[in-house]
Amino acid sequence: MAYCPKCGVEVEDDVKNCPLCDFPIPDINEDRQPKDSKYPQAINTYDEDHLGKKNKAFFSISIIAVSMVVIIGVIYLVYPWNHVLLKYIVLADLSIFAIVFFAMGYLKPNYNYLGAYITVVITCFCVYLISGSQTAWFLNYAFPIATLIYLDISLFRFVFKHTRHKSQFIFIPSNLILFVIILAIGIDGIISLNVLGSLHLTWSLIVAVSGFCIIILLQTIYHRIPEKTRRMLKKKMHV
Amino acid sequence: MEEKNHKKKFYSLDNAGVLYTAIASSRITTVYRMTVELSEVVDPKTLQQALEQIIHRFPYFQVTLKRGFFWYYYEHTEAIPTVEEEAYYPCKTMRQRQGKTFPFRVLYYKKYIHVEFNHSICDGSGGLAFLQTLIIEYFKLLKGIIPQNLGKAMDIHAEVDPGEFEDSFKVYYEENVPPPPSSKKVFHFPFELLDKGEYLLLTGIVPVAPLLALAKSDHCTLTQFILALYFESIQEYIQGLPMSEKKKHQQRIAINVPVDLRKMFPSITLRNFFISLNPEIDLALGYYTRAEIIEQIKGYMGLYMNRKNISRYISRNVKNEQLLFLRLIPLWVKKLFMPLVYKWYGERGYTSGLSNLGVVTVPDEIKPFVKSFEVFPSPSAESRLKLVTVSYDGKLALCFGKTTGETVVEKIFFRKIRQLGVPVKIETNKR
Repeated sequence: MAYCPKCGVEVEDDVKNCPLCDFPIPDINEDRQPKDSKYPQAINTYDEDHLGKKNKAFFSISIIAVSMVVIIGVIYLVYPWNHVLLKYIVLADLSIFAIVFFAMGYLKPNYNYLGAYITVVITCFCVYLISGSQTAWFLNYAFPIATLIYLDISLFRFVFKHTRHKSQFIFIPSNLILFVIILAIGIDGIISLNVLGSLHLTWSLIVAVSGFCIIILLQTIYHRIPEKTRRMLKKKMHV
Repeated sequence: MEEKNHKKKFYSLDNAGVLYTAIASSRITTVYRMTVELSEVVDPKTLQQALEQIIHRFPYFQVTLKRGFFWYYYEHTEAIPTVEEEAYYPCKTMRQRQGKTFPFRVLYYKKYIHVEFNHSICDGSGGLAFLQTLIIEYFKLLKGIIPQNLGKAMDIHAEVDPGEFEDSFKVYYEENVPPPPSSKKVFHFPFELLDKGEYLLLTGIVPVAPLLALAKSDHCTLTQFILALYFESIQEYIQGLPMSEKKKHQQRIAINVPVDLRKMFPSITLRNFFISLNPEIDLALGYYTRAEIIEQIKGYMGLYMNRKNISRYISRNVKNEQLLFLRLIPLWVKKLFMPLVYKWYGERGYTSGLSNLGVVTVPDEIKPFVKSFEVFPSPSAESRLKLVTVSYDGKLALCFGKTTGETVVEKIFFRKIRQLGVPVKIETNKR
C-alpha cells in the first residue's frame, strides 16, 4: 500500500506521483511490480472521428479544384486566344482552394490566419499583374488594407484569448468596438494618404471617439469607478 | 393492442431526454458511466451471453436514436448490442442516427464491467437496475448461481410493465402551477478545459461508517454532510484564489443536487425521473463555517424538498417542452440554439453537481464476487467538475468526473476527509 505523504490518502501501488497534489510518492516498495492499472491507456477518438469527415470533404474539394485546372488547361490548349479570362478562372480556383484549406484548420490557428493573409495578398498581386492596370492599386490599397485587417484580427484574437473567462457581456462588445475603431482609422488613413498625400483623419475620428466612450462606459460598469474618483465626482456634483 | 404495448416500435423522449439530446455534443456527451469491480477477470463471452439474455426484458433500451423533424425519438431495433473491451476515454460521445447503435454500451476491462448510458434514455436509478440485472445474469451463466432475492434488479422472465417506460414527468405534471424562481449567476471554476474527447475520472473510496457517524453527530444525512464538505472545499478554493477580497465576496456557490422523484411519487419508471435543486451559499454574507453550511443545506432541503415545490419544477419543464412555438422550430435550429440556452439558463445557475445514488445492493449469493460499484457523471463544459457518490458494502465511492486536468478542489476536499480521520483511497485514469 502506498500513501501520499502530503495528502495522506492511499494511492494505487503503481503510481509515481500523487494524483491529487502531484507530490512524488517515495519508492519504498522494493519488489514493486508493474501492477495492473484500473484503466487502459485511453485513446481519444475525437480527432479521428472528425478528421474522417473533414478529409472526405477536403478530398472532394481537391478533386473539383484539380479538375477545374485540368479543364481550363485543355481549353487553353484548344482555344489559346482567350487567355486572360482563363487566367482569372485558374487564379480564383487556386485561391479559393487555398482559403478552404486554411479554413479547414489542418494547421495551428496562427498559421491558418497567416496562410489566409498570404493567399489574399498573392491573389491580389496576381490580379494586378494579369490586369496590367496603370494605377498602382495593389501597393496603394490592396496590400495595406489586407495587412491592416490581418493585424487587426490578430489583435482581436489576442485580446479575446486573454479576456474570454471574464464577463462575456462586457468584454466581447468592448473587443468588437476596438476592432471596428482600428479598422476605421486604418482605412481612413490609407485613403487620405493616397488621395491627399498626407495623413488626415476625418470620419474615423468620430467612430473612434464614440467607440472609446462606449468601451470606457462598459469597462467602468465592470470595474466600478475607483473610490477616489467617486468621492471627487460626488463633491463636484453635490450629491 | 394492449398486451403488445411493451413491444411498441416508437418511444418519444421524456422531458429530460428532450433536453439531453438537444445539447449533446462531442464534449458534452450526456453519457454517464457505471462501473462494477468483480473479484475475477471478466469473461467477455459470458458477459455477451448475459447481455443477450437480458436485453429482451428491457425493450425500451433496445432502441436506436432517430432524427425526427422537430425532435429526436427512439425506435425499436432488432439488433443485439455487443460488449466491447474498453480502449477509449470514458463517456465517449455516442454516435447518433446510425441505425444499429444503442443508447448504452457495455464495456469490460480486466476485472471491471462498465455500462455507459446516454442520459437521454434513463437516469442513474434506471441504469443501476439494468447493471444489477446484467451482473446477476452474468453470474447465473458463469457459476450457476440463482439468487433468491433480486433486490432492485429485474426478473428477466417477468412481463414488461408499461409503467417501466412511462414518461413520469407527464404523468405527474400539474397544470397552473407557478414556475420556481429563476437562478442567479454563480461562480464557475476557471480551469482550462481538456482537449475534446478527453475525460478524467477520479474516485476516492472511503468507509461509510465513520462518515455516517460524523454526519449523525452533526444531525444531518450523509448526503448533506458530503455536500457541506464540498461547499467548504469550493469556498476554501475561492479564498485561495489570487483575486481581490471584494471580488471574492461577490461570488456565490451553488451545487446542483438531483432528487430521485421515485421516492416522492409512486413511479416505477426506468427512464428519467428526477429534478435538480440548487442549494447555495452567498459569500457576500461572509465566509461560512462547516456548521453554518450544514444548517444552510438542512434548511434549504427542508424548505424545498417536498412534493408541492418539486411539482413547480416539473410543471415548468413540461410546460417549456409543450410550448407550441418551441415545438414548431425544426430540429437543426434547436440543435444550434439549445446548447446556448442551456448554458445561459441551466448551467449558469450552479457551480458543480453532486448526485447521491444511495446504497447499491446485490443478492447475497453473488456478493463475494462483486467488490465495488462506482458511478461517474456525464461530462460538462461549464461545471468542469462534478461528483457522484454511491455506496456498496460499507464503502462509499466519491466519483469525480472532470473535463479539466486541475485537481485543486479534489485535493482540498479529500484532505478535509483525511483530517476528519477517515482513510481515503484514490484511483484515477489520469496518467
